[in-house]
Amino acid sequence: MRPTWLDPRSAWLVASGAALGAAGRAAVADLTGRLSSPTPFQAQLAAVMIVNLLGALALGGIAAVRNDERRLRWGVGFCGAFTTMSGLASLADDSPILADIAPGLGALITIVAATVAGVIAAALGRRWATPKFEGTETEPTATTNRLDRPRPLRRRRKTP
Amino acid sequence: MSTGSVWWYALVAVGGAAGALIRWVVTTWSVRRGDGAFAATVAVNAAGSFGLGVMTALHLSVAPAALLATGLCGGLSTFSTLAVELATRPGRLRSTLFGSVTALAAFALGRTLG
Repeated sequence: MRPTWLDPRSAWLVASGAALGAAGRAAVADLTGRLSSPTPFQAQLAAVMIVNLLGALALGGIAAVRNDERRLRWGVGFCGAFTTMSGLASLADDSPILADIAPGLGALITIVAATVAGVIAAALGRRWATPKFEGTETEPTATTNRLDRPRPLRRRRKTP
Repeated sequence: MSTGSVWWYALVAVGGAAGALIRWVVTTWSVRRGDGAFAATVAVNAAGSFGLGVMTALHLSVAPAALLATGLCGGLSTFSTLAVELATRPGRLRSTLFGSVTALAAFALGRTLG
């Protein structure tokens, strides 16, 4: 029996979204490389932060969508491939922060700061997307099948 | 072939699709096993970062770099999924550190070995 989670339709949704996402990321990198006369590091910094923060913001919203197909193509595929952790690790490794004193610590500070910024972007995207789905089926959660466990976003203030 | 050409984009797209498919299979498998999506995301990020580290050290030419580095490693690793999982997960600070450090360490290891 073929496992349902490896069905060709889902694989196509993931692959097609990812092809667009990866090409989009490459386009951003290509543009920042062309537009900015600054150092290659600055161009890479701009490219990685743009794709990662936009992608985290978008996925924050998309992960709350209850339509599996949409989540596979635009969440797992597009946002997943548009953003990059390996590119961020590479960037952090080149980080000028504390480069002369403690390069390892500088790299660590860079990657943790970028990740924290991404978490904030994801939470904002989620908050923005949530009202749209209120009153439809159930309370939207970021987790139907892709993510770990249904756990509603902690609410700090009540929306009016 | 030069950076920014149609073929360059095509290679990035193909590599990115392959990387994302691997990530999707690993994540689904991990969830089925009961290990959860977060463990899978950290694992694919470490794998992608390690691969990119190796390729950085190897100084690939434009075409292989587009397919394997920008495409495959970029598509395999993901920042957005990690960010969303961290935003909805308890024990955020420790997990954030863990998710970041593993990717950075994997990249540094790959670059050293490559």
